[in-house]
Amino acid sequence: MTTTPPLPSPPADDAIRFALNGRLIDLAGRDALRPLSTLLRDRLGLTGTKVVCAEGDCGACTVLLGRPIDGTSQREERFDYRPVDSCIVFAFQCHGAHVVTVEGLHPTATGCTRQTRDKTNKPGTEERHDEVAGPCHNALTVIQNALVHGHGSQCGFCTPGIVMALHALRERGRDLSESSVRHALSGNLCRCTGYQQIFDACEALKDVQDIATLDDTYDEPALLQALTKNQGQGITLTAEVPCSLTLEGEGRSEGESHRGQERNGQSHKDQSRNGKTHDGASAERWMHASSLPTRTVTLRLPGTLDEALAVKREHPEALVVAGATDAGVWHNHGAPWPDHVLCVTALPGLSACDNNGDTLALGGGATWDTISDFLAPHFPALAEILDRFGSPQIRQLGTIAGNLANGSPIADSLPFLFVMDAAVEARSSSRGSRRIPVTSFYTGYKQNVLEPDELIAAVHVPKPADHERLHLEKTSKRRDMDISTFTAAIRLTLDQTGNTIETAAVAMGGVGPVVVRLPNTEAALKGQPFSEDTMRIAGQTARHEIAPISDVRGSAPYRFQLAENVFRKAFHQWNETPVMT
Amino acid sequence: MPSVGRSIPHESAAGHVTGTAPYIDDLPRYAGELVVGFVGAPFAAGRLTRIDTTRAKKLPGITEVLTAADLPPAAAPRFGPIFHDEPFLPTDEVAYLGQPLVVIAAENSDALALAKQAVTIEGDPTDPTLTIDQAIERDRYLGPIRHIRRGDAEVALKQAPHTLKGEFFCNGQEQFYLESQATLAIPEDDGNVRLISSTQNPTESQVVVAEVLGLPYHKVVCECPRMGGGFGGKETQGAIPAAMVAWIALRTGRPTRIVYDKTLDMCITGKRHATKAWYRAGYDDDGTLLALDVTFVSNGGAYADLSTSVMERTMLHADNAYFVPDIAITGKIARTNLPPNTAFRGFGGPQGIVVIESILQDIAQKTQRDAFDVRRRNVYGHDARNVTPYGQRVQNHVLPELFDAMETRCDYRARKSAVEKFNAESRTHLKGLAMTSVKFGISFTTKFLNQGNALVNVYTDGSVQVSTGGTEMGQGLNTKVKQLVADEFGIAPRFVRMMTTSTEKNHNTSPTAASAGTDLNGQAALHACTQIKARMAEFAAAQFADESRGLTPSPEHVRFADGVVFDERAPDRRLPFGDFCDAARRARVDLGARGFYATPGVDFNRETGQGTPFFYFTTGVAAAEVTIDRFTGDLVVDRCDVLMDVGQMINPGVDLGQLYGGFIQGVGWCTAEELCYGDEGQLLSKSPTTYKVPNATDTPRIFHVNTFPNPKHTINVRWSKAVGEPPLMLGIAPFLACRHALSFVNPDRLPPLNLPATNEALLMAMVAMRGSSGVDCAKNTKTSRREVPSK
Repeated sequence: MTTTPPLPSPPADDAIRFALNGRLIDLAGRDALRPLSTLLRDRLGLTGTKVVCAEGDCGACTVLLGRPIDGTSQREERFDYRPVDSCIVFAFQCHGAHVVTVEGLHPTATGCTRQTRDKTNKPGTEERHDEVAGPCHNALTVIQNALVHGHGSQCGFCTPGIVMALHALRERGRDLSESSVRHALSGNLCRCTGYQQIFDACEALKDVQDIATLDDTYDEPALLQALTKNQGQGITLTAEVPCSLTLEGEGRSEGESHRGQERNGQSHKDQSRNGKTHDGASAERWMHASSLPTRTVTLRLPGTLDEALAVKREHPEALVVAGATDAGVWHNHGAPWPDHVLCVTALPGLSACDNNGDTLALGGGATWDTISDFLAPHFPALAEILDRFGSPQIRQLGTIAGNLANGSPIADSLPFLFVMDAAVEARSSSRGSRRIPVTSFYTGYKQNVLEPDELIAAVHVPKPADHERLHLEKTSKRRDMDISTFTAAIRLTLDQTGNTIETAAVAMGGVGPVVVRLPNTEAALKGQPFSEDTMRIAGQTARHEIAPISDVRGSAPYRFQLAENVFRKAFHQWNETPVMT
Repeated sequence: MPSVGRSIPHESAAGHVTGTAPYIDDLPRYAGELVVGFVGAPFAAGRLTRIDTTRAKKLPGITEVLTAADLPPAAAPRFGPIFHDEPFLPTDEVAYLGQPLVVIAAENSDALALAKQAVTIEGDPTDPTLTIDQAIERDRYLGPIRHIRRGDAEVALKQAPHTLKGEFFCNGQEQFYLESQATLAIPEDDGNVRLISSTQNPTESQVVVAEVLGLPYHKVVCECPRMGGGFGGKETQGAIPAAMVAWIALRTGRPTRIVYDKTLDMCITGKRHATKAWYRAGYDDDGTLLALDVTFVSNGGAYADLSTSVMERTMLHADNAYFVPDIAITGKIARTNLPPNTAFRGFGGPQGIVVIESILQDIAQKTQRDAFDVRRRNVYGHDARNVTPYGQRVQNHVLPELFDAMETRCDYRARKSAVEKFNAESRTHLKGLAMTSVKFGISFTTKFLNQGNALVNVYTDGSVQVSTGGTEMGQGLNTKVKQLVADEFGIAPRFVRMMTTSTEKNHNTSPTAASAGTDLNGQAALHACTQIKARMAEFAAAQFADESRGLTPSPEHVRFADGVVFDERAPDRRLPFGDFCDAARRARVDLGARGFYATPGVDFNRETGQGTPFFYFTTGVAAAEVTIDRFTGDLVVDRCDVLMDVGQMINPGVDLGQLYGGFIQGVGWCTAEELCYGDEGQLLSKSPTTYKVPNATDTPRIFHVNTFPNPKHTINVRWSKAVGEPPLMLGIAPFLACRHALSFVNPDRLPPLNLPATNEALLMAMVAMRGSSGVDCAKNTKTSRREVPSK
């Protein structure tokens, strides 16, 4: 691992390169496979980034990940900085990007309002009461300074992550009003403050114009030049990683994911991932050895989609990593690396969203943040759901293909895609593209019909027709940054009068091993008057079409009740029955 | 200008926002440092038959693989803060799932992970006791049964015009400090060891480590620079990991560190006690409480830890802010196969307070009176109805005034009407509005803990170092003590530095707990300052004496203010404090002192349940308005108003932070934070993915937090009041607002709602109260009230 100032030598084709706080970093071998937070803290000594949950569910490790914006389509060449949870970003996903940590918020250029401290160092010579303790008093950004003086930190452990999430807001040109800050911090947990003094500190900055951004701090064109050289070329990298043990006579399951399967998707993954045994060294064999048993992992970062498909044909068992919001969690819970890893993070040509007349095409690699912006005008109900999808950090990484491939029965996007009769476009290098109706995509719990050499290239969603009503439900224990207990989508078309239901589509998640359409319920709605009574009957019908279980997120009776009630809730929302006074 | 009363920033704030304030895992690695982990029990109850570590020991990169059999002969078999009943590493009987059995030290984390897999543990698991009900059935208890009684509750209940009988369950709560348990052990020469630990209780860590390793106490030093949150979870729970690394460091002579990951921490450390209460209350037509008989049983977990003290505080808060003429309070602790439950902000108080607040809410529903009026009617008075069940007079308080002020400030009557109108009209949502109060007793109920000591060093440039036994976990203790000391010497706070808490500077200390950190350590620091200032004043008096102006040496006229020292009779002659200190040292004046403080007048006899356990009470009221989705149970806390008497604030910014933060933590306990266990005793809600602490978007949109003056409060350090725990118990207000909302579903039925009021619990309670339409109604009710949800 080396760090150099941005005086680029060409990057090697067996190493990744990214910039960290303005300096270039080339990584090969195992360091490239480490979570970014581990690399920062344990390998680079940048301990300002804290780790709490290592699951992407607290935001303490938030850093800014700046991807180059293509100068041809945008007004200027620069980085687009987004907040990410560095505990579930693998270092290799940062290839070509600029990572900025709390240490990199260069204060001299980011608009420090604090002047140099008093020259007096003895009591009695001059008095000053507006003081800040600790080092670097004059080295705070405007946002940091506001938090210091507004009592925005108590124990301080979540604070660097909160500072980064607030700077992310600023980087995207958003204001620091309370509503904006609430939303921006919905991926950061603070256990001490109750958040109010953070809001108040930021509110005081709402009209401050001179909060500098990172393009003032860093020579971005120079960094871009160093990072984008040889862009489009693939990288193949090998790493030695430790084995886990197979104890003789004990069928110990290796690195079993504690939670990964329940997460709301977002990372690519292939079916073989559920099988274990990529490694397994006998304990007896490794006793008295001079070093730990290792095995070789091959990581491919293709430069193009075609190259990615070729890798997938060659190594159909490869773990496909897009956002890694699941794979990162599995890794931190001890899941072993498979022999082959295919990284499609930010792969050119995979993330575009297009309006194709009657349908909307969502690139498989499009992140939820992108999709939310793209679909919001067509599906306001979906925008509300996506606003609560994961967290701001997760939405910058997670992709629609990952959500589909992971196939969690409580994936937030699936009920919507099911009632819209969306199609999954699978592509292979030998057979090209095929479209699979999403309703026949799954064959069982986390099982799907993808062929081993296929990648999800896109998802095609028909545009809504006139007279359509769409209701989407996401029930979770906590409003934000929570995995759903129950999800539902109800799509009705009404006749000209608006009094009769012509067609109905209903899908639910969290009520069985896969997301399901409810044909009997749909039949109970079709042709019926558009009334609360119809909805009540539909709800009672739905109860008999689902088979939920009790788990940590909720009991089966609760899920039955939600399934029954969601129809009447939808009816009242469509009719805009007064909700709040 | 004095700094007390001003909102100077937290002393570490700049370090927090820049990430430069180090926590245990941030401290640089030593060369040759070892990483430590352990293998825990694979079942929650039963006997161990075999622990095989031979394979693990022989793996590369493994330095030590130790079990109880490796402990030195002088090691104490059991430890504990009250009862010595907990083994460091059990030898035969396992008491909870994941209980540490095998300690492993490795060169790196890869080797450690591998070695953990190579350990074999076998045993005969038995059916674990997990719930309070199971423990009662099996007659498993910890510690003695305690009583607090006044009058004759039985007779009064018989004579009361109305009685209410019920039971109430409140779930536990995970502290969820962000920095998990962590300790770095550095071996020193001659068999000594230094611990740098994330602990609220360095003395306890020192003592437990010494005892379980068979050392005299003076061979162990424990330091705590800061914690990434504590909330009570680091009062005792840091001792086991500290003992592990101390042991390895002493055996290997190498620095050794352990840092729990979040899931491990949540799975094996103690939490707030789940508590069940059975009660009978007697009241009259107006809702005046006449009698109360209540029995609390808490889920203590596998060992006593602090459970008896926690239960004591539950019982001492069964009255909360309300006078009950005839009362009988009983407390028991269930012994179960969960990790030993422990301190958590409020320390049993919340479990007591929520019961009487619920009873009053139900009495209001039963008598068809306004719940505010019922509470106001029962609140402690000034001249009468002012003695607690344990015989302590509630004095110099402003409880009735707080109620009346809140009624106006939050526009209670108009909003109550609006809520009623809304509920009559809305098909989709229900609203509720409730006001609750807190009267929290300040002091450790164990008398001897009410002491503190401090060390103050004044240097010859006039700068000052202060060390106390108090630990900084974000609550701002150090900032407040710094302000107190700065004002004593009349210097700016930046010339006062708070030093790392260490048992070698401040020994035999109490945990930083019971909200009393500033009370005890601040007073001790002031005592040290007083001694130094007396010596300084004597020296200064001689300097300022001027016979030509008729000034005789007079220490009592010496003043320390604005960075200078002067004689108030001749204030024109001023010595800069730094120069003065230099001169004093040259005149051989001692510029350092150790201060000590013991809270006066507190005493409590737990055998009789009578006494004066508290120095004073911190009090407050809160009003909360909630909206519940009738179809999904989704809860939104719309507005909260908090009003508290916290005395004269030493640092309003810091203290308001405690009010906001404590309140929201209480709201979390009451709403979304739900601990779930599986049948084997495994925690299912074991990370923030499944355990939901309040998010930024959960903070009420309208959130007014204010303080209320109390001119009658003229005790305690600078007339301040403890502020850490009390606001948490006002977070109960939204829970009562939920019960108020549910009362509109069916006014004839009391809401079957326990705590927490999750969306699920609310929906199922609505179904149960409607009774007719819901399918599986009875089943649903049962589920929503489950104590331990099954997988």
